[in-house]
Amino acid sequence: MPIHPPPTAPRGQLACVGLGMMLGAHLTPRARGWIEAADVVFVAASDALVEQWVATVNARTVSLQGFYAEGKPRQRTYRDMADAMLREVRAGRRVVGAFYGHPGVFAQVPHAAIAQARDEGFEAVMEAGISAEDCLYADLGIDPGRVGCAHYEASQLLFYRRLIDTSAWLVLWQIGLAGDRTYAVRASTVEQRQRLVDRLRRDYPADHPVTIYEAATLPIAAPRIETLPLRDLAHAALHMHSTLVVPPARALEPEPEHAPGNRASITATCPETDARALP
Amino acid sequence: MTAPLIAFLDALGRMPMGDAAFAARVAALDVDAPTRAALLGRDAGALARAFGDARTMWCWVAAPEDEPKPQDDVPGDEPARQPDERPGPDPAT
Repeated sequence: MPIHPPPTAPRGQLACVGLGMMLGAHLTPRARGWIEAADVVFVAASDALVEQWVATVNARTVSLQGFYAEGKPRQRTYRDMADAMLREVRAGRRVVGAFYGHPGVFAQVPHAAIAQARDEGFEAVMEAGISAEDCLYADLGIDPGRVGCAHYEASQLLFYRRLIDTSAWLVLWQIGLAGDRTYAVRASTVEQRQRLVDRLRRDYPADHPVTIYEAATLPIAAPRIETLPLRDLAHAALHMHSTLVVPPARALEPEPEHAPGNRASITATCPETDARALP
Repeated sequence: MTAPLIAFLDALGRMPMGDAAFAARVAALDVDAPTRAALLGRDAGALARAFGDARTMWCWVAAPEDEPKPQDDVPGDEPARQPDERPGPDPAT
């Protein structure tokens, strides 16, 4: 009589994958594979149609939008989301968190849920996705390797002392919430945004052109690319997903110690970088 | 109506098409008039309304861990801090 090993409970696992920004366009084969094989898929999408689209890949989906509420602190919301996913993992299910963009960029829940799952001994992985940053480079024609590109969360730039290098591109995320300390609202006020403008005015002139960028989430639409003077930013229409792109305000300055008066030695060291990269 | 619309958007996302082909595909779709008009107008807002779900979706934001706590929080109920999430200014600066 054959001896069978004792039955074991199914082992839960967690995969956090990126949906990319645009419906149908950015889902990687690996992400699709995880979604198709999942027992349950928690979806954080940027568009209701995207939620429906994920449901066509795997009907066992749960929207994470229901965890949000006006006035509810974000950390509380994110904790509830991670808890919901981990409950399913502990129940032995193959759980996928499908997040718009890249699951590890400006997304605390995937990082927290994966760390917690691993702490509890479960297999947990993150699969990269196409983020808004990736779309930004393509849509605006920016190569961050040319003169450099710094990224900050807008309120962090406002509330903390950060140094801005105006010879590089500056990208500020979440400008629609800039100046709001609660993170429990959908938009900050004009007065709060004006503080961000005032902060940027320390480094840039009032008429410096800045671009509001919003990646397209549906293939029928175009990205929002709206350029205006810095002084007008506080009164512009801004959303939670709006990003501000600030071009360099000055040329790269040669470092005398390494290139004493010799531009050729700079370009020889870093051929993709030169001082003529102003827009 | 939902299935043909989602399938069309999925196909369009994977394979962009020219204006003439786009119009022809939309004309052949099994969707109602508002949806068809929204598609032809390439109007994402109108499409959401026609779809019947025009809610504004919440987006991820990077909220600091020292954000104001809700009244119903209990001591010891704070979220676990992750290695890549530090409160306060970036020490690199």
